[in-house]
Amino acid sequence: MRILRQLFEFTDNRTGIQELTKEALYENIPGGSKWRYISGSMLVFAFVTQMITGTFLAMSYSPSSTTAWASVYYIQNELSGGWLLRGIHHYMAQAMVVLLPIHMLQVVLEKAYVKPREFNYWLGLVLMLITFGLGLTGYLLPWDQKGYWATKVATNLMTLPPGGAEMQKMVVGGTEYGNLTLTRFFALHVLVLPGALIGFLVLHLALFRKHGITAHSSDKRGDEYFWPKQVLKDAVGCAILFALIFWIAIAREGAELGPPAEPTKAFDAARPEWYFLFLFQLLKKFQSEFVGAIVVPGLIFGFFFMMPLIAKFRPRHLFNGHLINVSVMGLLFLGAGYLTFEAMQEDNYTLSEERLAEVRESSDPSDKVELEKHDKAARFHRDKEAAERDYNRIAALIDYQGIPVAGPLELLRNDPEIMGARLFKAKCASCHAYDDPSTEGIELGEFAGPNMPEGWDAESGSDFGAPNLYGFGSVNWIKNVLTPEKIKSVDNFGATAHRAGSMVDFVENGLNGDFDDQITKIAKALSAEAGLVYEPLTDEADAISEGNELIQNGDWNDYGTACTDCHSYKENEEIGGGPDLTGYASADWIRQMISDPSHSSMYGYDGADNNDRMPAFKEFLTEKEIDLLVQFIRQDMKNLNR
Amino acid sequence: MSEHLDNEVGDEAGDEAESAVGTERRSFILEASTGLLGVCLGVGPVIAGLWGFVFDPFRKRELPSKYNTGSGDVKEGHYLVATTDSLPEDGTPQRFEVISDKYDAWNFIPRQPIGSVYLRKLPEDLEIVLEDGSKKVLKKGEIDCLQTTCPHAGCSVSYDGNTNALLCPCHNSEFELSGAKRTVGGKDNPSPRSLDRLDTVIKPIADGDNMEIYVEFMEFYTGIHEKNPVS
Repeated sequence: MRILRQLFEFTDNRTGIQELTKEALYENIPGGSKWRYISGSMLVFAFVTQMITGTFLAMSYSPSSTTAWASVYYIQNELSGGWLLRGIHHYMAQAMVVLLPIHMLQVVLEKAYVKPREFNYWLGLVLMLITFGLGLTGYLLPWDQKGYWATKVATNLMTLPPGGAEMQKMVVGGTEYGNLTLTRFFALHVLVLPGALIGFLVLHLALFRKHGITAHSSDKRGDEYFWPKQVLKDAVGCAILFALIFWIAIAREGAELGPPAEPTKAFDAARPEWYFLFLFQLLKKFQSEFVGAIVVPGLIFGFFFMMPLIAKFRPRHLFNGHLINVSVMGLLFLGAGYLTFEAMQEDNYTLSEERLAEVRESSDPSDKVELEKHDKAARFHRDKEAAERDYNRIAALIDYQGIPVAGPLELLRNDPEIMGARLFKAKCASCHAYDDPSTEGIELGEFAGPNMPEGWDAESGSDFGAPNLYGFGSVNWIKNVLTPEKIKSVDNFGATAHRAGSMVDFVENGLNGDFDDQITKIAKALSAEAGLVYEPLTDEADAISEGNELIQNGDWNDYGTACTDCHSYKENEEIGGGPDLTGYASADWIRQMISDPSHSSMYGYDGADNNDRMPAFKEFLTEKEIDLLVQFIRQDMKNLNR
Repeated sequence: MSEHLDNEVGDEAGDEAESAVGTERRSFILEASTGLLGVCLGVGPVIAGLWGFVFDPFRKRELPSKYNTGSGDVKEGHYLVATTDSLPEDGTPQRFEVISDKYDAWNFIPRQPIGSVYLRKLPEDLEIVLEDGSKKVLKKGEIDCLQTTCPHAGCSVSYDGNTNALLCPCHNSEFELSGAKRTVGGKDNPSPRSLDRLDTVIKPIADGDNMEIYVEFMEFYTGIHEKNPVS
């Protein structure tokens, strides 16, 4: 014990630690401790939590365009407790943004912003701006679609005021978003802004101690020291805050992470963090971005800045500057709340089916506006859901092969389920349907096939579409083509020029009868040529060889013709005008069909061209793109756990 | 609400019936619990961070399923490093990289060098001492494999044809081609042990005499007499 006391005296003599502690803890609180004094301490506590969790996050985060998303994915899904760390950091940041206006409102309502505390109020405003800056810079760091596009908008708005373009270049590190944007935002987020915040916070607290707490004479209770009762109240408040954030972080399993940023893919679901939604919404209210993004927020902030000076204005007893401040501020807060609400509501604006049909027909301008709002919300949800699917697919790819050094986009760009589906949608879906009953993992929504005109049926027919390619080359798909009742359906040749061709004629007449067994065997033999991974046909050797025999020597009703009367197949070469069935629906076969359907092995036999209207895509697509389409149609990579 | 809690915390001012001793005890409990709560608050986020910082380096990760199939190597942990054809008959050691798939935090990098070894075809019988102290004779023509990491401080040794030795560039450790420590200029070698020998498995290739050499590659802790694998 004695040695402890000596050690304490040794330290105290040289540092004055006892005096310092006393000064810190025995601050007088006129009127005693109060629960309403805790908001400032809670903000400090929230900031300290951010510094601690941020420091640990920085130990696993890597700011570059190839590693940022990958390292955040690692923190969220691999690092022990990383998801929790992210969750606390993410939601504590939001708690700060919630506590700030509360703290500010208290200060104004208690008249703690007027003489002699003006400077401390202004310091508080600076702290608020720094906190917003931290929120903005932190939002980009995961480098996901949402953060990328939302921040892009924010930095583009920077260019509006004079000199803004130069400013933007400095912040972004050039004209393009990339490695330098991340390193700069990272340095701002973890060094510059927290450093500035600490500096201004020290000044804020020093001035606070100088002026003391703003107490009102109506308090009849005796004075108390800061320690221990106010400290306990502060600590309880902070504990409740931390418990709440901890609970949210656990309930949400960390913080949200979207698919990696794709600079080439527009993202209609880009939104700023919810606490900036009012600014986002405000922007939409003005014709000019300059007014909406710079002038109005600038005026509002200018008003906040002027409030202590306005409060000096006291012409009459009832109507004075303070009252103006309180009412304008109240209106502004209400307005911000309303704008936030409106922004959220707009994203969920949906019309009922009947109403939608109505406004589509209508030429009334207000109906047009309604339709526009509906479509906009629909695009928001479409991209949000697509982003979720992309994320899940990329997570599956990461389980399958890890993230390459070239970054997560490398996974995405080489994935037939993501890129192949996108290409299909862009290049094939205007004619071909792709009716995948399980749309999981693929962006399918928009190509459920050509829209059938009203009253369309296989008999009246018209040639405006092309076969449904889902399951192309599978036993079932081939059987459908060979089934008299189905060949003229819209999923097969029903919507093509081939509906009047000799194949349809052959199937409808030649295969009309009890040929189910033979058709199945032929389908298996052809599907074996395709060699689809999802339908291996390993135990079907007998059926396949019988099918092969039928293809070459089958005898059907009065036709008496084999498939090889029109199609080449294996050793039976160059017999007729139909596509070569050797290697049917194999990767090479599909590649040839996409590249050049009028090739002699496809629809172009002996100078004739039986190709309907399918373009030769070798003119429009790269080999890699065609390969992605081939793999997508063959579902080569659909199930990675095979 | 706030007033109610206020009273719970203990408002001594209006508490005249309370004895002085009771007030003092209550004040102590108040101060102690305040201090404790304050400490807990600081510790919460630190623990969340330390969880990953402390425990994550000890976590074993499963390979991505595409690479988790067993590489076709002969034995668990053995890597195909070279073929016997690539080794000269005279026993000159040859350096080979060991290639494997590895994680680097968020990246997974297939077919990366994870280390290197010296391989040689023994020109004559070689008696070696095993870890348990027993001796064993490697026959002429067999394959001997040594780690390139110097057991002293972890630098990489290299073959020097002039002295016919494996030399460490850092603190002048020298080793015989058999891996045994050499005495350096009459002084003891700074390395605490001889170069670490690695287990090899030879597998015939379908045609000819050429054989594949598989090495059980691992690293060992440096600076100690014992050969303890880093796991």
